[in-house]
Amino acid sequence: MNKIVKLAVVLGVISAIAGGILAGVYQFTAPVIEARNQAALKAGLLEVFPGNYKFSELKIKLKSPDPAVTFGKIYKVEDSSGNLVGIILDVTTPGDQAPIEMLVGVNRNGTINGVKILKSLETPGLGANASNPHYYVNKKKKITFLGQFKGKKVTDPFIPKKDVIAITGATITSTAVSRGVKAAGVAAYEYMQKAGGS
Amino acid sequence: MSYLTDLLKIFIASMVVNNIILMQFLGLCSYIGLTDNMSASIGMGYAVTFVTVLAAAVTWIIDHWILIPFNLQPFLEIVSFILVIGSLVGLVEIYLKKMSPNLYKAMGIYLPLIATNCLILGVTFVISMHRLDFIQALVEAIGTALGYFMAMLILAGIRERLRNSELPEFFQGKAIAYIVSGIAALAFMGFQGMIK
Amino acid sequence: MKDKLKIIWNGIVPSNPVLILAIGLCSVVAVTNFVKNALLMSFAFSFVLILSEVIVSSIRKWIPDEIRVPIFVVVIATFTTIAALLSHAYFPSVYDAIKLYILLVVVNCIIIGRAEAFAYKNGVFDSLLDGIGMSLGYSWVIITIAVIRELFGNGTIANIRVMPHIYQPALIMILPPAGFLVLGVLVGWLEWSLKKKKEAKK
Repeated sequence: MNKIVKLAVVLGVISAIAGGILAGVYQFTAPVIEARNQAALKAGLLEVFPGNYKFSELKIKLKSPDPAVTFGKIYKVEDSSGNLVGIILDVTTPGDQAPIEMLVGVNRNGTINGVKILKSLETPGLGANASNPHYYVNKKKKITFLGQFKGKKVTDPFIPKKDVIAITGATITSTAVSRGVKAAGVAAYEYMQKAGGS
Repeated sequence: MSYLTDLLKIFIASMVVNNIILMQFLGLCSYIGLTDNMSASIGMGYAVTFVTVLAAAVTWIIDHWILIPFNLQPFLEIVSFILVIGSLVGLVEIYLKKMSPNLYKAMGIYLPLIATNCLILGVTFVISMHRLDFIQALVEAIGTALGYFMAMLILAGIRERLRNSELPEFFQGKAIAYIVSGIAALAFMGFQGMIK
Repeated sequence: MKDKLKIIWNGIVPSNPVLILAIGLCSVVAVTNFVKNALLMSFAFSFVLILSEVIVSSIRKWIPDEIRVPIFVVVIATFTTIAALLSHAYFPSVYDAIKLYILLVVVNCIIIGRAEAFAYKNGVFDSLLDGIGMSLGYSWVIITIAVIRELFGNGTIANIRVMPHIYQPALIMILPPAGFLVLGVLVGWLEWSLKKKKEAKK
């Protein structure tokens, strides 16, 4: 009996030390991870709406017209004199392996301003080309897969092989991204029309 | 209805589309080590199925009732999961030895191998990463384990045939097992996109 | 001095954990499609293996024999969590791609095997050397495989273009199945050349 107590105490002490060390390391890395996420988000927002704009979080919920697509945070884009230029949605769409998280920027006039993939686990060489800056769907004009969405009207169909050039060997990824962009575009445009001048 | 479809999707995805061995490469030690013997593959298959489902249930409860409420998940998950699975395997072994000698004979010798099998811990991490609920977690565990079973049977069957065939000297031994698995994995890539 | 070097060399070739002992293979097949994945995996593996061996060997006198395995597991799991947290903080995009395999360093047979077979029986300094040797042995293999796969499959090494633009990459090399194929050829070549050597000695 005495022996078992001793063993339990030894194991308990070691586990407690381990737990303490881990809590300490976590306290140290958590702010670093948070800061990185913030920086990545800021860079993403700027990439979707390049220029001298002010970004602020909009505390509203938009309903996605596509049941497979969900929206996260929503950001308002204003120019220096405070006019609404467009909004950016954090969109999650079901990818090939895991959900794809991306930022979709929509102009006030109902066109897509830019798309940026934040997180995805698509197959390297196939679906991962969606976020590859050197993979061109139009080699002559050097347009990337995401680049082709710029300037598209939200009323367009957004269907690969029709008005979207798909990535070779990655139909699922191409479809998923297109659906996400379309849903975001429609919801955002509707909201901005309702919001009117404000 | 849509919840049931979701479950079916999880099941097929975990068993075939993301087959744990051929697409995710977990549990390779036992896969390469045991499949030169058909009956060992079957015994290991049963043992893994049993322990995976049990482990998924227990770790889900620990995750959702202890680690997440107290905000310990980011840094205590690995330690607690591995300790729980280790003790679970020990308990199952003792229990089987006493209560069901027949079952123990069938899969008992594979149980110690399982405690360090990355497949089981892998499933529990996948469940926690995808934030599945309890039923979904069980379905994912069953699907993954059956997928493992299937891959074991496929390779064991092929290796049984290979034993009697003339192989180039270069590929004899383990090498051919890898090559065959690579080709099987290529075939399994064809399932990608089945689940949308 | 010579036998100290021998401890390190032992891990690099004679008992190379991946090629000769054929254990801890999961991550070898899974993360070798890009060099950057292999580098982060090597870092996590070496970090956990070296520190675990050092800690186990320095507390080995206080470890009761009956519960040594659970204690090894706690030590290894602690360092794995630290490695995962550090990777998440400083290499977030690579970490996202191979997260599962970093977490699973905790059940890597090489690490628990070395803790049991070497660190539990040897001094701190020797264990440190053994850890370094084994880490180098693991790292050179997975980085070599990754270089081969990325070079042929993507035309780059560590994201730097090496092949001329006219080269059409063999996509299969960076897809998952090629991990098995490349490892199979490597193991076949190794076993074959070892057999040749033995025969030559006779």
